[in-house]
Amino acid sequence: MAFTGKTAIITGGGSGIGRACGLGLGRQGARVAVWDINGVNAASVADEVKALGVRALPMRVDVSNIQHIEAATQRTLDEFGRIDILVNCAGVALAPKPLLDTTPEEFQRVFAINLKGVWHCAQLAAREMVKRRSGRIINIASTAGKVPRVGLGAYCISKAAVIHLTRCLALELAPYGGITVNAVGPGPTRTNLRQNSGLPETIEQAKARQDQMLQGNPEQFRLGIPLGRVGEPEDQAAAVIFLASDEAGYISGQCLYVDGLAGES
Amino acid sequence: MVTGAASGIGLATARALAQAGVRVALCDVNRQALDRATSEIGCIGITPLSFEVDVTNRVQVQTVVGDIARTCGKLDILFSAAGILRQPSSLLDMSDSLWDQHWAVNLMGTLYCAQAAAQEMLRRQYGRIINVASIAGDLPRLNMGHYCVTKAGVKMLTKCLALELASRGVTVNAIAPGPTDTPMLQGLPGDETSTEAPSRLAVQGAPEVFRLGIPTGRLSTPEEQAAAVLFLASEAAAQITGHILYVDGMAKLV
Repeated sequence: MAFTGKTAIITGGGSGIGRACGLGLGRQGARVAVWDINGVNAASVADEVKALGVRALPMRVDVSNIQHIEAATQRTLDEFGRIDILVNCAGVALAPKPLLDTTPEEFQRVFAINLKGVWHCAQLAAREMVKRRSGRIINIASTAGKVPRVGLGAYCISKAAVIHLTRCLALELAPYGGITVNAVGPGPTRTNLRQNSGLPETIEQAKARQDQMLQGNPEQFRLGIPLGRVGEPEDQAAAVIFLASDEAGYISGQCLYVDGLAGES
Repeated sequence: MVTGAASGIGLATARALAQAGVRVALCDVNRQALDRATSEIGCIGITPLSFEVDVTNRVQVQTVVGDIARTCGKLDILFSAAGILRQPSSLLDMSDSLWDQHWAVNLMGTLYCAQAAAQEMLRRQYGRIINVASIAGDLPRLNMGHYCVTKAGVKMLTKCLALELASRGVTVNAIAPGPTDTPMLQGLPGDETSTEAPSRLAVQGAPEVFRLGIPTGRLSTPEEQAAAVLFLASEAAAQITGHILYVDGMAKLV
């Protein structure tokens, strides 16, 4: 199998896109370290991965806490001996709010998780990867990092920064030959990002929001999703798995949009 | 259906598709090279179809698509790799004929193939169209204006077509290669002031021609381009459309 003998760390691996990445990589033979701030979710996904016949290691990790990341990286190395793939899925959203009213604390929280968390995880993983001149780092960005959205300023800015962090890190690691750094840019995708960010909504509210995303709204989601459906976590995982493969070795510094054209319209 | 299938990225992709169990219709304007490619790919497994076709001829393209659909019952994937980069020329001195040749093959040929293939794909509300853009569609290159303009055109053609077909089951994407080890690159003349081969200039960088070079330090292989095409052609890439996937070792970003 394509990833037999390889180790993947998935941050935010306990649900949504992270879970789909862990299962997809595990299905193709990878050992998976499932990091999530919700330890119960991490353990549950690790069990699902183990059921595929590969090893999995659940860990409760807050990516805004560098001590957590250092400890989890060491634990992953102790357990699996190497890090081949890092998928940075951990992310947080804010309740819709104008930038003018966003407090420094709110802004910093989004940046601590969506940007600094990605950077710290990438830093520690890349230090291992440069020893073997080989590795794959994949960051989950968003079409919101390319297209401004009303009320989602802090989130949009953090995701734009992730896209450029991806490029800068890719350039820095390019001389090692075998290390690539890329992003995947999901359009609207069926995940629990809002619930996990402490922004619960009822099924009816979720349905209404999804309809709005599909059909479009001039201020919020432009022309909607031309492809006519919201993305599934598996759509995003497919792109992550492709970028993690040996065959994608010449692709670096890119953001692969998996958005049903939502980001172009 | 793979155009430009007799060499370079087209040939590597035809080979990779055949290895993945796809019945490939090889299309190329060069009969001899096409025959060689057809017999090579025939050894992989499923017998390929083979068409000598000039993509600038709309009627020929339509006929070939019709033949493929009749023979195979359907057309799932179009990979438009037919493209040219002939002699370098400054835009000020460029002849109409040189400009028109590039426009006809790189842009009109891509459009004709997509039009004919999409008609067929829409019957079943399923299809994958993959075009070949280039980093030259983003980065101006000295004496390559004719080529750069057509490749920028392919990018927008890809996005507009993707939007037009989005709700009808057909995705349209492009790969954008950086300098790739193909007959097209090897055929380029080197810098007049240097004895270096164009491939070395591409990797190391040359002001005004290849910018700062390629951060990953080597040319791409046609097989690496083919891998991206196969991903975009796969079931897994269903939610990706209108995307330009750069396979360029970061050559565009620096």
